[in-house]
Amino acid sequence: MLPIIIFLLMAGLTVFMLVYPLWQGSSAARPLPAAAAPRVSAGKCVTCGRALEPDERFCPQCGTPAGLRCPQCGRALAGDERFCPGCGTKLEGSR
Amino acid sequence: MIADIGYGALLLAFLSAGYAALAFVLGQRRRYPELIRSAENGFRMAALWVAASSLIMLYLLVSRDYQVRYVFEHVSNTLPLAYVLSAFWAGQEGSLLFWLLLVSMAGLVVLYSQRDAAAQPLRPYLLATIAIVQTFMALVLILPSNPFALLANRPADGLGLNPLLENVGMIFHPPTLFIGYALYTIPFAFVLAGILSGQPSDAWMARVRRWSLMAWLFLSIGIILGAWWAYIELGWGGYWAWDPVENSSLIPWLVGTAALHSAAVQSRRGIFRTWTAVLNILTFGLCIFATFVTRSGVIQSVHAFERSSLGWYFAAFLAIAMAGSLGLLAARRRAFADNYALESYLSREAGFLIGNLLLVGAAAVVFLGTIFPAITELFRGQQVALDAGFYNRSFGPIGLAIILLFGVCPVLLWRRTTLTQLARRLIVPAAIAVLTIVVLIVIGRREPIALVGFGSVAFVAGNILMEFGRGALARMRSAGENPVTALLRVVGRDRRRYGGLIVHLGVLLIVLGVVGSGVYRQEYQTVMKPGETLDIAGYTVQYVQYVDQELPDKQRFATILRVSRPNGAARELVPEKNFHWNVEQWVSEVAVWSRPAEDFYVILAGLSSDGTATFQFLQEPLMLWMWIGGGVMVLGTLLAWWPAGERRRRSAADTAEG
Repeated sequence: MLPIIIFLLMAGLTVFMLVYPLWQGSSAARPLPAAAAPRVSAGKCVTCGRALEPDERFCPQCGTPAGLRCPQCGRALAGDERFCPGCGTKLEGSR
Repeated sequence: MIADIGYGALLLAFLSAGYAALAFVLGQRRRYPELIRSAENGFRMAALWVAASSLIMLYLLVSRDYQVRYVFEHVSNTLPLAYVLSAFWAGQEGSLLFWLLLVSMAGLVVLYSQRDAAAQPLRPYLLATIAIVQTFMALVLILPSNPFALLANRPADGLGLNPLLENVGMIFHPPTLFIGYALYTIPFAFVLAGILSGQPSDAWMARVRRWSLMAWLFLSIGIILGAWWAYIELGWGGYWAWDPVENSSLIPWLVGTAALHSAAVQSRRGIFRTWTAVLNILTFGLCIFATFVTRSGVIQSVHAFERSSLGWYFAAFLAIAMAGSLGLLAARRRAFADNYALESYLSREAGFLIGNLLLVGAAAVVFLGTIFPAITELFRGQQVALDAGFYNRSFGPIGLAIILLFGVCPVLLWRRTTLTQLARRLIVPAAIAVLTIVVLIVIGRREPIALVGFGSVAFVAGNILMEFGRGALARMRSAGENPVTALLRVVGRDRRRYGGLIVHLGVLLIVLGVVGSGVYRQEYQTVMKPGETLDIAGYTVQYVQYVDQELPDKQRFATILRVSRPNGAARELVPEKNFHWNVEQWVSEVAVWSRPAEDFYVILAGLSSDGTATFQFLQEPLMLWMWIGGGVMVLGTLLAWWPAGERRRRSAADTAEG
């Protein structure tokens, strides 16, 4: 008998946890926050992979311009995108 | 009674996970956030009930409740506590429960870590995929493979663990392998979420990288520990027998390795997207395949698990998962199109591509070899297994090509490299390789395999060490740092790259062990009486004493040997041959003296009542380096995985930007 009671309690807890968010209704619904992330300068050279200091504008190893990168997916950016072409993240400071 | 509650918890886990999977997808499709929150709770409850049933399982094992069949089959009154706990994953039902537990815990980490805004579109599909895997595993546990099944009465003692499994390697080998298999669910879930959410971009690549690395790390450790266990415990002096069960863990490892490298190119250059997705899907599929091979009994193996219907559940799940995910990928393939094409075949991208193809080729060879017995059974009615020669002939050359590529790839530049650039950077390593081969020939080691093997290792090692040197030199010149600081800074600044190179160094050490023990292994067999002394291959072996001892679990026959070298170094080695009561089987315990140059490996092959013993002595050159190489691989992977570097760099960049 005891195992059945314990099982019913467990099942009851499960059902409560599943139903509670639905019962709470739309009053608790929050809009999903919009993604807007700052641009960051490159951590690494896109050509040779060398680690770059934040103030280095060109890679000291191979001379490639230190480009911008999407903070979300790390994709190299040209600098004029409003959204990252890789992942669609909205980029701040876009013109 | 407690076992019934454990079963009830599994039932609830199954229902909660199934509900969560449905609710996540519906909630996302219908834009119904409450339903998604309800699904999240379902996901949490599933993890809770899996954890509860696992704890109950552990309790039943520790309390030795023999009425539970699983406990009866894997634990006995004399079994030490460490092995009682490891019995949790020693058997079929327990190991599947353990797997489900791991997937659930990893799922919780995903649930709580992927909460940022950019993860929102992916998240429901990601969690839904994990929930589907959980639902399947829970289904298997409540139907064909119930760990809480009861016997009609309660026996006084259990059968206990197979004595071969009573080894430290066996406490850690299966769980590490399972952790690897289970964690590969997460990269798969990311890929599927990428496809389903219509965001098949590079966004999830950055998120999935550390999961893939962790899964790969555990799979690697599991495989190495398995090899070590075979070497120490099985008593035939080898470490890898190309057994189907061993192979089935190597196949996902090879494809997973390809996936890691392909993902590295994708995150840096935005190419190989479809390829990376396919590799991640296949790696997950091959983890399931490994379980199918192990548990179905379709292919005969030394890892004698009973032939059960369970395998077919896995086969069905595998077919559905692969057809579904690859089908979806094919349907959405345009979204996975690459931004650029490969610019030159002499570029690092191309190097990665060739490496990928070689890894997948090697995996295909092992895969075909593994299923070959099943194919012959289908056509000829009997299983014909391929011998180690097949694998050595086909896997060897591919392995060598991969090793050589280790040497060439890091000096290739991204996008394109000229032949002059390549030649300039390869000339020193090539010279080191030639020098190594010349030295080997001069000292009389002229076996072709050894020359090629050691020559390649020298070439690649020279190259990798030069990579470290080049980086450190640049810092010493530009920042005026001392060599040690410069080296540490260089490595710390680009952990992904240097961690990867350290992993390659580890692989080279393993190759040393493989070639050394493969080419120069020597075997001697001799009969000795107690008190006798013998000179073998530079060792003096004195058979000191013979021990015959009755223990609660076994009859122990041990021979105490004193082994010494001409330089005075000495060791006591105690090879044993024990008769275990519970399985009524003889089990050998080998004794090994490991030195950097070679292992001296003693097997007690036979014994008569007066103590006259037949010994097998094996010389295994460079074996120790295989295990050291494994350790180096682990360190390199952890270095590449460690997050602090990325975070610091990102926050520094943020400050500079703000």
